[in-house]
Amino acid sequence: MELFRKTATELSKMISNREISAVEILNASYDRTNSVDDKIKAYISVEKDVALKQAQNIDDKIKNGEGLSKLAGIPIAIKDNICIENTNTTCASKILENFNAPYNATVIEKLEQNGLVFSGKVNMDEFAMGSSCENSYFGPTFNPHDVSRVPGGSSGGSAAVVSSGQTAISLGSDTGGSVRQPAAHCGIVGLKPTYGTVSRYGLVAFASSLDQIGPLARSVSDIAMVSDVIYGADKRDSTSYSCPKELCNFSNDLNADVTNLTVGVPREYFADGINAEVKESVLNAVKTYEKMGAKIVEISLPMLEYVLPTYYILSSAEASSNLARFDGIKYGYRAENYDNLVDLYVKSRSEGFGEEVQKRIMLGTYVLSSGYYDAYYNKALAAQRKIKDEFNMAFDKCDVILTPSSPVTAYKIGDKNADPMAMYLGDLCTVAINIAGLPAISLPCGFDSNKMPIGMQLIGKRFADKKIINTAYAFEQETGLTNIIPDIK
Amino acid sequence: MVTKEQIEHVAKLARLDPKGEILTKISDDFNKVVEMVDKLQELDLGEIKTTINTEIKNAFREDICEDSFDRAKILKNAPSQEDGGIHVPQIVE
Repeated sequence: MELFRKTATELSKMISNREISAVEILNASYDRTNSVDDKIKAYISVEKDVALKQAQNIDDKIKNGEGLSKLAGIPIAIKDNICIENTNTTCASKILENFNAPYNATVIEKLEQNGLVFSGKVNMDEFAMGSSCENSYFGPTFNPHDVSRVPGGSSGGSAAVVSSGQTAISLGSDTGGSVRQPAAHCGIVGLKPTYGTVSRYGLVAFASSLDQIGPLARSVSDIAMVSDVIYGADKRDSTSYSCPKELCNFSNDLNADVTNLTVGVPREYFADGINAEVKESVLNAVKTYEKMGAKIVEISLPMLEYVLPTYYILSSAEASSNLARFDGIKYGYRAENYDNLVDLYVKSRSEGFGEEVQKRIMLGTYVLSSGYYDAYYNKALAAQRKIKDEFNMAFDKCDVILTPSSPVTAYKIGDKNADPMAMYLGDLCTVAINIAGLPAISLPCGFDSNKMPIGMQLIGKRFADKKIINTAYAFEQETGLTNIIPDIK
Repeated sequence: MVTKEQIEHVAKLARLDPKGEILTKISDDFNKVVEMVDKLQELDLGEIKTTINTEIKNAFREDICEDSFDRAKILKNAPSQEDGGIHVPQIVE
């Protein structure tokens, strides 16, 4: 089997058996990039020399017999809104095109301490605002299953790089589905952890109360291994939690037994707006769980019709405030010609931000402005409370909730760019989870008639990350829908 | 319906000045999005107390002095610099 087809779990065993070196794995990863990434365009930047030095350093440690973590020597691609010291972090925006991060994000520190090798920075929708990876200043990324289609977004680069076998694992960020939806569209696994369990320090903020860093991989056990490394409290993120060891020890506790599990199926997530093939595939997954011994209950989450308005008000409001820092003064793009200070701000921002980002900043400014604050922002906060309560009540009846990850499969490039509402509807199944701060995982459950992957989503209670990972693992073991790499044409 | 004047006002508050095609596109989309979020108005939320997304109460820590970033490293990203400071346009006449 070619090296690029191996999962991180398999590569890790090969390294510990001294069958292969970290440098060899990295070279194989870059060979794969050379042969496919002109079609996929997952990477924004690659610093090959730095990565090779990192890999060589791991090999030296192995030679010296130093004890290393399980993932030591494995390459990982990083979404370009997570800071790696001395490396450009562009957020796929002109305004940060030349921004060189002066520090490491906490997740980067942790990965580095565990010996992972950073293969490069991958593409995204500008400032993570988008669901198709088409809103990048550097151009779109393409779906490895069909390069005429979108990979999903905003972590489209993170999903495509893994799906095309360039790396086994990557990091993305998920504000309204930005890890899970591209994972679904690319036929891989993506985890959005419970809010606060993974530090956001060094992740460029979009909507701070919703943002969460999460891993993407081609197998659930790879997701578990990366999660082992990145979870935990951080004094530099005051919203982070210390995760009790018994709740956040994932890879050693992988367990495919679902016999005492109750799976809730919310009828609203299988209603009219969901594509028929997606619905059928996810309902088949329900049957699979039943066959494996899980108990199935029908539940109701009627707030679904209000989740998109709530999400777009809260996320845009926070974005308008967070993105105020980009003013052309301390770092980032500065307009060449301006008359005075205010003109410098206005021109730098108008020239530096793309259209979707400007639109969301303006929407956020609008819902927070005098006269509209109560009608929009406060109302959305109250709706958020109700959405949370509804999930809490649902979890009285079940352990995990099963839904589609996206109402549709990957669509053609350019198809939905003209209509923002069609694009926003793609987030229907995922945004409520961020609003409620819950953990959720997306994994492949089948293919549609165009051979495009279909993803299903398992949602857990707060801190039940291990439960959803194990529930996903059980399905993967039963169906063998794992480690899928398409032929790239 | 959000008027052109309102959109220009919001742009001004946000220190943005979209022009030409971008302004037309943003204005069209803006109304569609506002119509979508207006759906919330039909919800009767009564006396529900608003919330923020974290259950953490106070995240206290000791107030300890630590080294901050290196000046030269931070200045590397400044669009314009002079004598160890960031160069900005004249503010006081």
